[in-house]
Amino acid sequence: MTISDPATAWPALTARGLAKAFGQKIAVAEVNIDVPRGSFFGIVGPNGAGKTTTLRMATGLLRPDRGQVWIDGIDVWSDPIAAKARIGVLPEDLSLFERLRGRELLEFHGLLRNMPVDAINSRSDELLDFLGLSEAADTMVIDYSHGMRKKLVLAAALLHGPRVLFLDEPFEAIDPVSARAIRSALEHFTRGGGTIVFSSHVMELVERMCDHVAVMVGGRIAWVGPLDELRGSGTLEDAFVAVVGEPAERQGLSWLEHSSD
Amino acid sequence: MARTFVRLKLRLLRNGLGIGQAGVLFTLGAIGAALLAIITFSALATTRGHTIGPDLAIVLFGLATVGWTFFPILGFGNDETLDPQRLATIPLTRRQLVGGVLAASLVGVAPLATLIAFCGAFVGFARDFASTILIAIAVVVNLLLCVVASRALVAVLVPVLRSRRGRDFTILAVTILGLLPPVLQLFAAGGSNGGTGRNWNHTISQIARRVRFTPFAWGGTAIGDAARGRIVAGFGLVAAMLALIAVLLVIWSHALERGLTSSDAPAPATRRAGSAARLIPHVLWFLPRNRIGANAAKDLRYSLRDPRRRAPLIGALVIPAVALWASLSQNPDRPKATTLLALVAVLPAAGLTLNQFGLDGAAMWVTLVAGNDPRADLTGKNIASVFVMVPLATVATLVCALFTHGWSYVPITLGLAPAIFGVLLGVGDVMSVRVPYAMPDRRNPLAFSPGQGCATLLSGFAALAVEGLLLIPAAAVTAIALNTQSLPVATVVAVVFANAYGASIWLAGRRFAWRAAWWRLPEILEAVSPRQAG
Repeated sequence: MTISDPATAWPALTARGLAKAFGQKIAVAEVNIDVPRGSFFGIVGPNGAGKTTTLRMATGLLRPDRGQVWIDGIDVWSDPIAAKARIGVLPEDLSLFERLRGRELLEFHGLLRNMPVDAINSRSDELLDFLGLSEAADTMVIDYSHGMRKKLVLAAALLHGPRVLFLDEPFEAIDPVSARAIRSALEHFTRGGGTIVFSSHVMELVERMCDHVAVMVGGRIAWVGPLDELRGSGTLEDAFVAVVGEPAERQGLSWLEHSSD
Repeated sequence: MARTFVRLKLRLLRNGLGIGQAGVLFTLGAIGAALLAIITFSALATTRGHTIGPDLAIVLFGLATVGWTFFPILGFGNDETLDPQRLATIPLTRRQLVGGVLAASLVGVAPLATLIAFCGAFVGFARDFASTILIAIAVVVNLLLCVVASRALVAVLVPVLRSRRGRDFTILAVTILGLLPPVLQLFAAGGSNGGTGRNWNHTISQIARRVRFTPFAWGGTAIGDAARGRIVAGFGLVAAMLALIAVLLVIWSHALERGLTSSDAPAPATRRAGSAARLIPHVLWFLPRNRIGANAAKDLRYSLRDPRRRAPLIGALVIPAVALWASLSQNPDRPKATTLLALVAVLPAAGLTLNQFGLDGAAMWVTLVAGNDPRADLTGKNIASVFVMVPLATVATLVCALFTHGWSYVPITLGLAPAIFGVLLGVGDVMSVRVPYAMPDRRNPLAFSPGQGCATLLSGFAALAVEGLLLIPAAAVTAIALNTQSLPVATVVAVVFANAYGASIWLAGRRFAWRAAWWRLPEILEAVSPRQAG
């Protein structure tokens, strides 16, 4: 696949035949996705569906067994530097250099990408302020709460002005105030033409924020397309359950219905 | 309720036995405890009829009680029946909780070993019925005191131990404790000319006289009283121990309740006055403002802030310094060229360069997601390592020169140091890429990481051997120059050659390493992430 100007003709993210197994367990069997530019793309699916593994492969953190991934038409695995320059990542596992202070960690991120110091400093201050982290900017990351860590990683992911943002469960274990700060930062990002790929199993969030959805089940994409098409006239949850399939009516637990006191 | 706790403890013990590395560690611990128990038992048993007996009882019982009281602080979290927060959702009265946890604490390898050790007192000191009864009660009450004291202290300190500073302090304390035996041994070897039995007895009597009336030694003193026929005095001490246990139980139950309902320590506001935190401080003005500088500054900050890196560094500093001091002070007539030995002091510190990505651990994704540039990453890390090794080499050199009066050899020693850094870092870079492994994610820096202890140790020795071999040419040229030329000429020749040699080894090693790493970065990330490796 070669195209004269990859930056305009390609989707923001393209995956073809992506597969990964850990020993005997097949985490991702076969994933094909096209994420349109400027879209807010949600990957939904039950726990263990392969969402995190797919995102890790798409961001160059985990080598796929098979298949290819392109960011803006740039192959992530054959030209990682150019591809990674275009992306920002908020992974599920928030392992960080915790002995750095918040601001130091942002500077570290910026310098890794060889950004000029002045730009790093002014953008860091703005991001910290926007996400409500200014007070904690000089606190070591090891003393951050879970929500503060997420916001800091989001700041780091946005620092260099990426084109595509990958977010793995960005709102999990987040308080409503932090969630609002993150949501508002993301809205700013998409307004500027950025693309967001995010995974979640919270249907309400996906329904509220995304315009495109991929449903993953058992390491495969079971459905992909515009949200409205999947949802039809019902809710996303109903549509999701219809795609994923629900086990036959559950038996048992009848004692719960007449609990004694 | 107590029975449920005991069954839980037994189940945990049994499950712990089955799990690979943890099982091996558990077995090793059990063997160590058994050895200690046998030694203490025999020591107590064989003093029968000796005048030192009662004093020995005071020292041994006192040591056991002190050990019980303070050791669990260092290993907090190892015993799951000890963590009150795990029981927070179960409706239990305070009395049930204390009784249950106490019963569970009395079950296990350590209480059993302690009981066996204490039983040596029967063989050593029982004279008649009354003394036997006194010893039996004193042994049981002392064991109870050991357990209650340790649990009470841990429960009281839970808030501190849960905080970051508390945990950091624990790591340093463990390191210093771990360093004590070799350091003391070296000092002893350097200082005394061999102790005699009489000296031992004298020391034990001295210690016993000083600690006799501290609560730790009450049990031992009561046993000594039994041996001397002072039964009433002995029972008085036992009563005092029981009163102490009662007080400790009250403190413990209150602390337990607080531990159940309080959460982990909140993040302290460590905002500093003055200018905002910057990764590269003014002192390091010469570091480039790019990926290399970022890695160097980050690793330097980690050397100062992360106890997991500080702890081995302390070892790397103290052990060679004491070893050099001990060997030099014993032979004052060493030639001045002995100053060159100072360079050996750098070797242990080089151990940290063998797994440079492993030190980053799972956080390595941060560098990986920002683009593949292992050359810049390794260069930055190497710069940080040099910053750690330079003061080490300088101090060691000056100490050596002080002892040998070999001041004229200081220039050549310091001049050769960069060459050694080059070789060490060249090998370290290759090892970091070829044999990366996850560092243990536990608080104890001396703990092995699951599933790779032996292989890691072997590859470390192999790296050390390679470093030794690679240093031979530089050492040979230095030796020849020193033996055939005047010192100033030899200095110039050796330093120029060795530095050119060391630099080329570093460049070659780093080049090999980053080329090998370029395509393997995701695999390295996987290897150094504790969760995946576990």
